[in-house]
Amino acid sequence: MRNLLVFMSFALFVSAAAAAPDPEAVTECDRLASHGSDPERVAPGVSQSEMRKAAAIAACLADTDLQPDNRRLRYLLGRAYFYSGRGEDAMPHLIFAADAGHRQAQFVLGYIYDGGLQGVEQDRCKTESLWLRSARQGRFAALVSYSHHVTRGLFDGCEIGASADEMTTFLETAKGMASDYFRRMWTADVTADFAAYRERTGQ
Amino acid sequence: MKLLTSVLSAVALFAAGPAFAEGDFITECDILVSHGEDPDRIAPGVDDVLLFAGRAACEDAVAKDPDNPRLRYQLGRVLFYSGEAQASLPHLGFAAEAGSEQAQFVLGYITDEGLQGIKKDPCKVEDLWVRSARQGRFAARVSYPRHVAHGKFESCGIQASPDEIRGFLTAAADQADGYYQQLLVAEVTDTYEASSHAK
Repeated sequence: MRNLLVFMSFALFVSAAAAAPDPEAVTECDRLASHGSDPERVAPGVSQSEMRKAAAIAACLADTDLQPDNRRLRYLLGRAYFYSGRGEDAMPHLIFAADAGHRQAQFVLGYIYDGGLQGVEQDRCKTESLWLRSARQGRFAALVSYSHHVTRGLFDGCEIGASADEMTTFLETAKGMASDYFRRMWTADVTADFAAYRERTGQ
Repeated sequence: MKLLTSVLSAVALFAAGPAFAEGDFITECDILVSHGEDPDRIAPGVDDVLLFAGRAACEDAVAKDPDNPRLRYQLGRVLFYSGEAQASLPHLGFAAEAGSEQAQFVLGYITDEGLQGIKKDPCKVEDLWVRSARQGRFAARVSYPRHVAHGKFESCGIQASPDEIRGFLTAAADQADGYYQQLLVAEVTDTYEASSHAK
């Protein structure tokens, strides 16, 4: 009897393990809603105009039901909602993904707070904190945008988490990552502005 | 037969899009070497150009239609990617003179950077980019004001007035595709307005 119980427990454990979804496996949500610049994506990127939004929301809801703690899928659900004009529905998922360390979600959420998009209250100090975390994880847009906002005084009144030296390093890293003509120009211009800012402010 | 020809012509006309000129047709050169941002292209853009096949196709196409600026630009493109800048220059130059805004921008870019040993010539760049910007090429509409603001055309006659340059930037803001291009236009606009040329 005891052997039978041990065997049944083992069988249950094995079947539960086999049923747990692989967090890296490509899901329908990934296929329909991945962002081309997301370093964690596991499927080709789909642009905003190309995304079949209703289908993406349905797929991402089903996939996040199975994997509620998967930060990549939660970001994708937030993305699909946001592109559908459903900012309020998007925010909890973007916040979850950003808090869980998803650098793309950190950048995007900071961008939404920066612009006060879709009725979200503008809060540049949240942007500062999110973009800093994203930049420290190497997201190109955050590496440049963070220094850009500091130079333009858009984070005035917030605690600036990065030193001037760290921001210089951000921009040097971004320079090595700039993959096309426009990104190279933008990075070069922000770098020049930031150098002038450092000289002006004595930092 | 006549009906079939008419149907095929109509299909070709509608499939081709606005860049198609009468009597024009898609060549192997277009399929292999078109640039995605070239407004004159008549085939989908190609990022990873097959150098050997692309060169052969474009040399063949240009031999048959030597006055076609689109094909001359594409031959110049594949030659430049093959590291043969000197061979590419006559083709890029021909296309630029014939009014290809893409060739005007690209020839200006490689002259500005002095790529592959090409002699830098800011005044040539100024002339090429102002023509490209006037025709609507986004990259020229941003790069021209940026160079003016940074004083890179100081030794040249700057052909565009401050109002025209502001017009380039306003139009570029409408054309900007995505986050980086939007921020770049905003950055260049601020830099231009702070420059001595704008005042």
